[in-house]
Amino acid sequence: MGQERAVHVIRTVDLVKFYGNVQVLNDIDFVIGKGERVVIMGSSGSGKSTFIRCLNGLEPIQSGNIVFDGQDIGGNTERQWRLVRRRIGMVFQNYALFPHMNALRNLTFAPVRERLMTPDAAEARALALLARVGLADKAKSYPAQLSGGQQQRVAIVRAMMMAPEVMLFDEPTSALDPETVGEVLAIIQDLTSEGLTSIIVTHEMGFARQCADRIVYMDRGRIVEEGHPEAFFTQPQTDRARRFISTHR
Amino acid sequence: MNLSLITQNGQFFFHAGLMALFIFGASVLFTTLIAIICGTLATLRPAAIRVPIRLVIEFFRDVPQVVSVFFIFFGAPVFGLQLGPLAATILALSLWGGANGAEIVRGGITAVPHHQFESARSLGLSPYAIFTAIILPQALLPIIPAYAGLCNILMHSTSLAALVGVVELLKSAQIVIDRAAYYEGGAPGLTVYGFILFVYYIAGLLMSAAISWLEKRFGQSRAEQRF
Amino acid sequence: MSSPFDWSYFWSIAFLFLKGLEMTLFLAVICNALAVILAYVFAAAVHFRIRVVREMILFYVSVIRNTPLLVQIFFFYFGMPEIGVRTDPTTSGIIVLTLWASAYQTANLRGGIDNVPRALTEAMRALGLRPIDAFVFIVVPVATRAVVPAMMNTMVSTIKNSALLSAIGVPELTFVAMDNIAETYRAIENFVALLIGYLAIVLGFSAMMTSLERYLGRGYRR
Ligand SMILES: Nc1ncnc2c1ncn2[C@@H]1O[C@H](COP(=O)(O)OP(=O)(O)O)[C@@H](O)[C@H]1O
Ligand SMILES: [Mg+2]
Repeated sequence: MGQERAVHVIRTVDLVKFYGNVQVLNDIDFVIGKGERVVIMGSSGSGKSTFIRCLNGLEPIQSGNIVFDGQDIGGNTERQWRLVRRRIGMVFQNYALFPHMNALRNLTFAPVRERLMTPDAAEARALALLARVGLADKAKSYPAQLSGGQQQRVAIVRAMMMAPEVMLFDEPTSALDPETVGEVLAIIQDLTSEGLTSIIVTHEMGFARQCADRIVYMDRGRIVEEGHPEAFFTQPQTDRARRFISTHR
Repeated sequence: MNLSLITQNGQFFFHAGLMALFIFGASVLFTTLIAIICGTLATLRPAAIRVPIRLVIEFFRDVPQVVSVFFIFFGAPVFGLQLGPLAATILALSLWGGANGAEIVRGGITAVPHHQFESARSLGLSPYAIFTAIILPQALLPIIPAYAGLCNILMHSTSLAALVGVVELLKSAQIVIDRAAYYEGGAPGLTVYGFILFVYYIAGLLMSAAISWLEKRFGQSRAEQRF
Repeated sequence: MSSPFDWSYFWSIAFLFLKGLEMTLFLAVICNALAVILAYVFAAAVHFRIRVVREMILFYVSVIRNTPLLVQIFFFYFGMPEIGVRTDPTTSGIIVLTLWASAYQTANLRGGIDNVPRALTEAMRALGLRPIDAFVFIVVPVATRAVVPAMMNTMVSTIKNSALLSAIGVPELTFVAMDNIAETYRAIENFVALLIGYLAIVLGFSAMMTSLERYLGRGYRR
């Protein structure tokens, strides 16, 4: 067990999720190791979002286990999940910045409010993070004054304020203009390059091929294929994956 | 509580309810007429028509309804217009409703896309046909919710008639309570006014149901039009 | 009945009207302020699904919004003494008008809260915010921002509806006017004064609110 804790950051066993009577996740067995960067791919509706939202408790699961840092958290209460979520950052497709707070306060609000950082420490970290993503001069800007790409960059560093052990990205560039996709992907690559465990749902083939340690391919609520990007893109094992790759190229 | 106050005066309350319903129906009718006519006129270009109408509309919107009722009942005789309490209430509510309704109608007409006028004109339709057949139907459907809100207020406003002496629901309650208070125990005020609140509440629920039915119906026909 | 407009009479009632205006303004400020505070409390109780309390609030909101204010005023002022709750006209008026306005403000706020984008509520959860912090610092400001125009409309309605309190003898503007007319039969001067009073209040309030809205809107627009 001690050994496993060091190797696996998150592990799911036979994860099952229903929406009403519809089963959207079917016996998902998944493991991610420390510092690993996993890209999840799959056609729309295959359950990618649902899966990663289960990992930080945004969606309750019906059966199976979620093991995080050696502890089974699948049966957590909402209160317990809240503590877990401070250790697992999440970035959404639509940025979801707080519209009435400027960029700096978007970053510092949660850690200061929940007394995880002093205001000074939070502000220093926030400014450093904003500088790192090239937004040093936008600290006082409100979300409505930022472009989509800028907003998403703020959202990414907001999720990283509390130095999470894992980052979840749900199609972080799907809502962006094609020109700004690249800049956001570059930032994700940069921020996760120092051994930050991350799970990224994306349709960006180039990014997946270049940055992923492993590709997980989902179809109709199951993981049907996984492997090294090179192998996945050149020799997909299933017909569905083959078709998916050819249509998204 | 002394529910016999209600049961013994059932007939009396029923007539009072009919009176309230009559005030409501008449006010809604005149409100609708005024709203459509003035709302349309308010969209016309000549300032000589538009400005006075906008001013009158603004006036009635800014003054409390009850002041309009008092003004027409107590003030109008100065201008030689002597109205009984019932007529004065209906006129006041209609003017108030008409002013607010005109603003709603004006908004609806202004929201009709300009190309609708132009394409209708290019078909060689007369201005009258353009307005009644093309513009008005498109303008009226989206304003049903606002119009429904207006009707809801008008329904509640029928109680203002009590203040100038019309025997509608509120006044009937006052009369019954006055008669009862001397010799009967219980809590006549809470009972009878509570009963009136209950009647209005039920009537309000019925109207909401009718309106959502209307909205569903017309909402559907709108969706059909679009595709 | 009276002759044409009598200026000397008009000026002689000015002081009375100022007293009425003072009362109307007092009612406007106190009832609107209390109503908004109550509305936030009620909306919070509904939001957090506090058992029984939630159902009671929803019922109260629905009853107030579906019955005439004038009947509510009579119910309270003439009915409540029967169970030992005796208050003078002005206090009764403040209570009823506040409860009336807060029902509408609660409905406004609930609309705003329901329309806070789902993405935002999820972001709050994902950041590990406690529900109470998320509500107070994110949901409430975002919802408020969306319903400021509706809340202002309700405030104007509250001001205008304070006129109904003349029916139980609260000495506000309308009461002063009707009292003068009953005494002197000079309708025209009193109505003119009344109209000036309400136009001044309503238009003044609207102007104030417009500038407040502009102030609140800073930072939102590019
Ligand atoms: N809140 C929900 N209620 C019911 N069904 C849902 C809900 N969210 C997603 N689904 C369904 O679950 C399936 C998986 O959805 P999702 O995880 O969003 O897929 P993906 O992210 O891969 O596009 C889809 O069939 C979708 O319609
Ligand atoms: Mg998705």
